[in-house]
Amino acid sequence: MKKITKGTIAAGAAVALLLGTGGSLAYWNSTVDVGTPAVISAGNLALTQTAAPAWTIVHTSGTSTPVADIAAVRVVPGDRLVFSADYSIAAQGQNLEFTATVAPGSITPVDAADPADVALAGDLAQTAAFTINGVAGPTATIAHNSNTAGTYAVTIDVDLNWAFAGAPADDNASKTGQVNLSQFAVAVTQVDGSL
Amino acid sequence: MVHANTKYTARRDSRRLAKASSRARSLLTATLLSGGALALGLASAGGTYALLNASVQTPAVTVTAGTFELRVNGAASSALGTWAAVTPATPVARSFTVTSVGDVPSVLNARIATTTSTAITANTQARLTPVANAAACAVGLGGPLADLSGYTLGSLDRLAAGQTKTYCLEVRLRPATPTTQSGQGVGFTLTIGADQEAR
Repeated sequence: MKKITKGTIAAGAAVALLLGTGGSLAYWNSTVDVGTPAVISAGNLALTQTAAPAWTIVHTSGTSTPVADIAAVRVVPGDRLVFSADYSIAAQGQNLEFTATVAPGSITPVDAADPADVALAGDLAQTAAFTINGVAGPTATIAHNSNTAGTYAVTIDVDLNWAFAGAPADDNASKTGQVNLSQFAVAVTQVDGSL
Repeated sequence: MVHANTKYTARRDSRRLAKASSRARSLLTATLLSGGALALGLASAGGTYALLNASVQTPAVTVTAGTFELRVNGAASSALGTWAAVTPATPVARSFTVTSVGDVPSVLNARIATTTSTAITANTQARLTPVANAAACAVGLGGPLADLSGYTLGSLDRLAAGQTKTYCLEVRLRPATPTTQSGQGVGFTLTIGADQEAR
């Protein structure tokens, strides 16, 4: 009986040692992958400039001339400077809705203490027109809602007009004046379409 | 005994309440702190934090105005000197140049104002004519002849930006000028003006 007990303990210890090696030894098992490896891609919302912003100058005769270097131009009464810039919104996402906004720039004297700069800022009348996805206006909400990438056009047209009909006393004060035209900003921001 | 038990229970309840209250205070403080930290974090990030966005800007530019000035004989003003020996039979002519300094074409005008009130002033006439050069300046050219005092030409000539042209001023006396006015003098100022021309 004692021998039997010792034998049983030795056999048990041997099985335990086998199990301790960590390998399968006698029982069945199986595994299966759930589906194929999945790639999850994020959508996109980006702005790019489609063409370099362009300036043209229009005289009282209506003649329009491209401006290669706006810094070299010397505007005089009767001139109209036209600025045009085109941007493209790239959008991709099944639940992507966004608001596109154009914030207008402003005209300010380069030197607020220089009478010529101040006078020129008063003489130049700025008008701006914005088109977003074919609709006129400074802001638009676009529901893209597609996994397929899409693009939407944004156009900025700015006119700086110095009327020829101004009073000489006013216009003469603007000679050699300088003004800054600040940046126009285009922004797109995703919005919650469920709201 | 009952009394002691009640006291004990009350003390235990009081301790439990104080403990619970303290725990609630700690929880509230922790919540406020974490909320404050989150708010600070978001505020310092400065932007949206859970949405897609993008922005671009047009380039900032500086626009500069042109200028426009006139120069007579290369200066802001020029003395035409003394016109001696003018008689009804011998008018005198002198040339001068006008230069457009600036960025615009212009139309010139002229006017003469007398600065004396001598009797001979009423018999003095002027004629202003554009000429090709100083050598072409002579008496009897095609410009309009009129009294010196108040002589006015609304449209003398057209001057392109940066262009210089020569003009001839003739001063003469009327043929019927009395000899009693001989030796009298006339002072005058010729002013050349210009208006920017539409282009």
